[in-house]
Amino acid sequence: MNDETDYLAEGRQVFAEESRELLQQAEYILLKLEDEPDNDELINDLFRTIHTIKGSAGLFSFDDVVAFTHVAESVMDQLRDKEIFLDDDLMCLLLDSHDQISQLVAHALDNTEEPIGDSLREKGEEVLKNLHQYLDVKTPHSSVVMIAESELKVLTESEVALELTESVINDYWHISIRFNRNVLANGMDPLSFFRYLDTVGNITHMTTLTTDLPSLDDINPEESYLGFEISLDSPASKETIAEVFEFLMEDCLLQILAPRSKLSDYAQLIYALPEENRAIGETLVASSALTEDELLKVLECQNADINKHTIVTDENITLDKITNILMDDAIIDKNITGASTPDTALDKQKQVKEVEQQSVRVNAEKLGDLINLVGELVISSAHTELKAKQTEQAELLETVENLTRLVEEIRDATLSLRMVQIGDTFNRFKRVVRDVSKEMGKKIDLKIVGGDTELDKTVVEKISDPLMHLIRNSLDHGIEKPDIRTANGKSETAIVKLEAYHDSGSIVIEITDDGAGLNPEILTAKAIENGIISANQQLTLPEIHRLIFAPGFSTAKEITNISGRGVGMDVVNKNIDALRGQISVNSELGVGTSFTIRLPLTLAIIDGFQVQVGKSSYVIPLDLVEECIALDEQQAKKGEYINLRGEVMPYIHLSEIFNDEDSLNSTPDKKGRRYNIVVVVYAGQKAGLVVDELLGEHQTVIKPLGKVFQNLKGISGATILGSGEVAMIIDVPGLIRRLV
Amino acid sequence: MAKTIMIVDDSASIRKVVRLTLESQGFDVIDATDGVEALKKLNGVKIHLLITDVNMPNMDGITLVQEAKKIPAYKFTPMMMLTTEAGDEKKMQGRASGAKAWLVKPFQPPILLNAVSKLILP
Amino acid sequence: MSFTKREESNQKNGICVLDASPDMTIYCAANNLAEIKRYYAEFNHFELNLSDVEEIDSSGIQLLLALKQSATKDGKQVFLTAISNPVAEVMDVLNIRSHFDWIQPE
Repeated sequence: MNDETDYLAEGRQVFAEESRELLQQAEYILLKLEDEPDNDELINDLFRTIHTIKGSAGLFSFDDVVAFTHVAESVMDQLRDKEIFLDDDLMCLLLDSHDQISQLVAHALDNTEEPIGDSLREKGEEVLKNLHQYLDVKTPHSSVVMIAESELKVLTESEVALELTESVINDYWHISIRFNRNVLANGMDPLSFFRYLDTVGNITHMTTLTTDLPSLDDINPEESYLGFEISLDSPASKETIAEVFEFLMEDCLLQILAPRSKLSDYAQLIYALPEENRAIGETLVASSALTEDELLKVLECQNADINKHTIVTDENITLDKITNILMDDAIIDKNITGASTPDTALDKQKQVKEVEQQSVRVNAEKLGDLINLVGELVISSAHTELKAKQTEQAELLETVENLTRLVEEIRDATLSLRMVQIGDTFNRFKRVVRDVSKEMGKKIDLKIVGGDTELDKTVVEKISDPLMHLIRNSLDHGIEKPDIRTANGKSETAIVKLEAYHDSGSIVIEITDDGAGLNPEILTAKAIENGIISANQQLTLPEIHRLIFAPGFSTAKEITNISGRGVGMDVVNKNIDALRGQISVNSELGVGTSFTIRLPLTLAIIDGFQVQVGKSSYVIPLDLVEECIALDEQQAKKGEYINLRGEVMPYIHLSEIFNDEDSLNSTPDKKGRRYNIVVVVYAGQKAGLVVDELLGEHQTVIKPLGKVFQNLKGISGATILGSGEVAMIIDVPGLIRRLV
Repeated sequence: MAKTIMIVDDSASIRKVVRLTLESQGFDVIDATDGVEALKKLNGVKIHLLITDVNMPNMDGITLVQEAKKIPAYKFTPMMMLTTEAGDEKKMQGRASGAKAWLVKPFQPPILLNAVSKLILP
Repeated sequence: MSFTKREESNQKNGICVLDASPDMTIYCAANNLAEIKRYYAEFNHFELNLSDVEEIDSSGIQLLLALKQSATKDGKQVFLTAISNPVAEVMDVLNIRSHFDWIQPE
């Protein structure tokens, strides 16, 4: 626990997660700002996310990240102060800045030692140059005159920022510490900590601040009111110094600046401390942390930018929090500890967000292991149930029943651990839509419906790429340019809708656009040209539409850098197949196109319905089973359809599909034999599966089939029954596709 | 004037090591095997630091800390929990009940002394 | 367990001489404050003798600082006449000797 590298490694891991979330949030805010450019709250949030990244990156000495983020942050700060306004150019620039920060963070996390690559640096310099233009705007045009008039050195904002990147002369650590009122009552005496601090280095100067000390009339003698500014000469690392105060972490505001820190760090310190800026600055000068000159520069910059106070207070919390993470081996949100959070600087929204984030991070692998184990548990429980039934002991049966119920609950609870909302994935596409519309001169609105629909995280991860392809395809090929749209009597702005919802054990994702629609003639011509179909082949409209999923099919007249070279759609189809899902397309020329993706909610365990055909058992996913009906031979002979309460429904004998001789052979001898039909429904299509016997519900742990069997028709997987036998899981969507 | 530290742990060896380590630095040491015995010994005698294990028979460390904090003489006494690596939740509970300091077991004597010296002057 | 006023202090010369008790830790902080406040309104000139202090912590130091600060504001005078080793040590750690006015006992 005292191993410094461990702290850092763990801290880095936290930073990786944290920065990813923050960047995602920043992008989301930026895109939202595009619709509401005057939303102050959003601008504040944006500033805070970037600011937090900067603060955390600083802790790990990710200097490239800090340097770049600092400038981006300054621009956002001006935005906040309404010095500049958010127009299209600035929006692009901020999005570019966001991307640059992402890359810098990724680089820092991957290889801290190596300098950043040329292309990344050049890109950064270009963005920085543009950002600086916004910072320069603030300088009055008359600045030249002012210099002439007064000989004073007038610095532009950017110059101030640059100046502050200089290091201070101070060779000592500087520690600022303010204790919460309750430390003394908790038995913690700052004096003991200072004495200990003197063992990790040499306290060269100490200033005791009495600014907060009340009069004799008002003082509560058991509370703490003192603040301290300490200079420390020490070869120790920042973590070692922070560790001195670990027991106080929740009870103090601690800031540690390294020897020769940047002036900007001191500037932030001065803003952050509760005392008046000039007074605290002079204290710093008195303790030789800063020279008079350095203080002057800092205060000058501060005057240009008075509003920083609240922000930097925010950073204290972050720094504090991260140091806490470094100290604690638990990565548990601070809220759980019930620590008093300084609430003045935090707006309500942030608090709400922190409450939402009360969570424990768990390694995905561990979760996968757990789910596998639960799978085994389910099988084992089924086995136990079976054996118990054979004993016919009522008491045992009752216990086992209870056990089975609990196992089911554990199964559901475990699977739900891996359920995440699809909204985050959807939100990523806002950026794509925005960029594409800019690039191609199209006007597109992205509508998101059902972002809170949950599905298995492993499915979410795998569906993201196919969705991206589909959306790009829709943007590129589907949506017309505004002039064409108006000419066709459509509104100038196209609408792309992303919708997710649950439907009988599946999650359905629909991507709908009101674009040009698929042109069957072009599709057919293209397919013939590419040799996918022959010229005289007659296809129905849905079949023509499905051509776009054929390998090597592309209709774009000019290849754009968006939807690529016709490798997209067949890959999409394969990916979705691999998830045991299905994609369909529906399109009307001139009106629009809609893709519907159906995916199973989870890839691990399902409720199954067990049936018998001949001597073999099969499992049908229970969610897809609508009802079971009996069918007498008379009806069965009529052919391939039955009349189900006035509805025509196709049916099929499973024994025929799987060529079960036992079942087939038994058929002719039995007169007046009754069949059982399991009515299944998928994507609104009903079909009957004729089986010999209905065995009832069964907890089904899906075991994937080996490579050899992967292409078996009608089977989607296998499972192990309570008896230890293997049963095949029926691929209902596949069968229905064959029937209708 | 030597300062007094109380160590509460059901493991005799831990009590022993802690006692020896602290005595070598000139502290007076009082020990107890569990929360109940500790409370019995907290009869007003001046204690400068209470170090307690979490899991103990009869009365656990968290209850001990809560009870001790109710006695005026120990209201301001710093208290330290001995936790295991996996005992984060206990650490949180300990902090909430008033033991703001902690030490992760197993620990080496120098680590113990470091932690103690953060809390009381020699 | 608190500050004690010496007999020789009286209204006439307006000097209140206080002897601090051995314990200037948080356990006695409330008592110590109460005692100081008892004389604070009455006198304008205080001389504190801290030579008997055996234990002092941040709360004790804080109390001394608060007395000095209030006195300065109210136009009163507070002098320290003697301090024990524990007090001296703490004052040196916190670098606060200069916060006080001193009368060196001859």
